[in-house]
Amino acid sequence: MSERQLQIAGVLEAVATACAFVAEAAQNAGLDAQACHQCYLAVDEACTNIVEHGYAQDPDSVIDVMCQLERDQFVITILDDSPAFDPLAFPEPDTKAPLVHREPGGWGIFFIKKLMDRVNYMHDGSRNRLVMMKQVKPHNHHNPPVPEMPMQPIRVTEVKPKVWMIAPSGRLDAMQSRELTAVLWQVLEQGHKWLLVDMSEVDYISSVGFKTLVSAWQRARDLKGDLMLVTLTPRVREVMEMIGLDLVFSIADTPEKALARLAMKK
Amino acid sequence: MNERSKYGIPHPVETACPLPLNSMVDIRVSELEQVTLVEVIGRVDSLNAAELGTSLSNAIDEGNTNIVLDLSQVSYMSSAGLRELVSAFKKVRRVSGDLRIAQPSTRVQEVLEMAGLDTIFQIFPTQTDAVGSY
Repeated sequence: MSERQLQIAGVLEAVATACAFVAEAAQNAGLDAQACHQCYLAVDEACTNIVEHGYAQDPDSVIDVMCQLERDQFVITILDDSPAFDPLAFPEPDTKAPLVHREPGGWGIFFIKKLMDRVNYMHDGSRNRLVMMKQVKPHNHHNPPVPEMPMQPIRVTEVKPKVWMIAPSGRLDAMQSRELTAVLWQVLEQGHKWLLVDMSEVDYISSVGFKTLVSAWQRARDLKGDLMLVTLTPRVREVMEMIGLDLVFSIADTPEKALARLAMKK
Repeated sequence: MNERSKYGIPHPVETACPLPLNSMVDIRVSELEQVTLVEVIGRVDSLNAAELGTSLSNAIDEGNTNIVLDLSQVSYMSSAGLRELVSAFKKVRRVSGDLRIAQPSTRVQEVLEMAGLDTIFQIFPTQTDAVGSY
């Protein structure tokens, strides 16, 4: 797919390679020079922390770096196998403190948060997963705006903190289901596990469409989250009841009811 | 339509990465009349930041405590570089010296500001200004 991936050894000597790989991908994604540099610096800080604190320079360790463009978001994912560590929970340095109260270090994570538009962390059972996002701003005619998705667009919105609504539309046939699979897995890959699928504009769903929803639901459950279906059209509801899938999924009549139920689970 | 363009990903453009890949830094220390001038050329990252730290530390240990650090030719600096600057600064202040920064490059100025270090260090627009300030 659209993703680019690189594995480096968990040593300082390899960090610049990961940085350059991401900066080049960022450039190709249409980020300007300043933003490319910020991505480079953020990856440097993240990987340096993993190498120095997580792996203690173990030459057999690895770091996986992935980049992809999702609509107007350039998404960098960094995976490592060092002990679980949530960098976002790390206390921030005081940028106003006088010299005597300044620690020499501790800037890396702070920089990442400042440089990127959004940062998420999760430990997915075995690996640390840091996801950093930078928005691509259309800036001149050399970088035309990201083209509209063909076919029926699938809207993705964060309706509440950490709760993502995915709204496909039209016929969820094999073709459209592939799109939906891609979108759902991208959202899950970013560590979002509380998903609502708005079905109000879906007037047909094929068996492939159901398979897509079931796989994503299983993945969300594996991540200790959930995927709920919201506002089914009568026709889709009928089909779901026929094959017994209404017993598998949590189904809510309105987004509000779905959010209320998620709030209880979370 | 292929996968890539379908998701709005531009095709890879065959252009060189604008950022230098090598992790080289050149540190030149020169003794002026009352000032030690340290010029840093290249990039300072976690791999080589210790070189900068050692150069500064050695100068201080030799009793050269009026230091001007010229950062005009630094193309890149990560927090590893800032760490060395703050350590050296603390060390030199303990012996009543000073470490003043001359003409930081845009990239350096950005990270100094991000860390709130632009208010901690004395920063001068030119090397001459910084040297003359002692």
